[in-house]
Amino acid sequence: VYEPPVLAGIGSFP
Amino acid sequence: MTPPPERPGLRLRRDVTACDTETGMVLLDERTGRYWQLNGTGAHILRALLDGGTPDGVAEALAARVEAVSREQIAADVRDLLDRLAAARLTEGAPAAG
Repeated sequence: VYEPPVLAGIGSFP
Repeated sequence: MTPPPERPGLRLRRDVTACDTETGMVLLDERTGRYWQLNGTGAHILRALLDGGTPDGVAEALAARVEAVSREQIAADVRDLLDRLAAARLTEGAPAAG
């Protein structure tokens, strides 16, 4: 089953 | 002293590190401190292009493996992913032509 490619920003590096 | 010539083809930018995950790939941009996630299809496409594959060749190989999606649709998705990777400044250079 084909899923389109997805690029997602998921964040950054007390 | 002149820097070494850049090799042709698509490549990750110097400050970007790729790490395979169970569901795809995570890209770390040490320049900006951001990290990005590619799903399984995106990771497969990026690996193939970094290995010297052409966008059309990658789309054709993928179309042969999946059902109910045309090669043209996948080729458009590959081009869109390339644009997004470049816009996020994760890659540089152009993929192999062919």
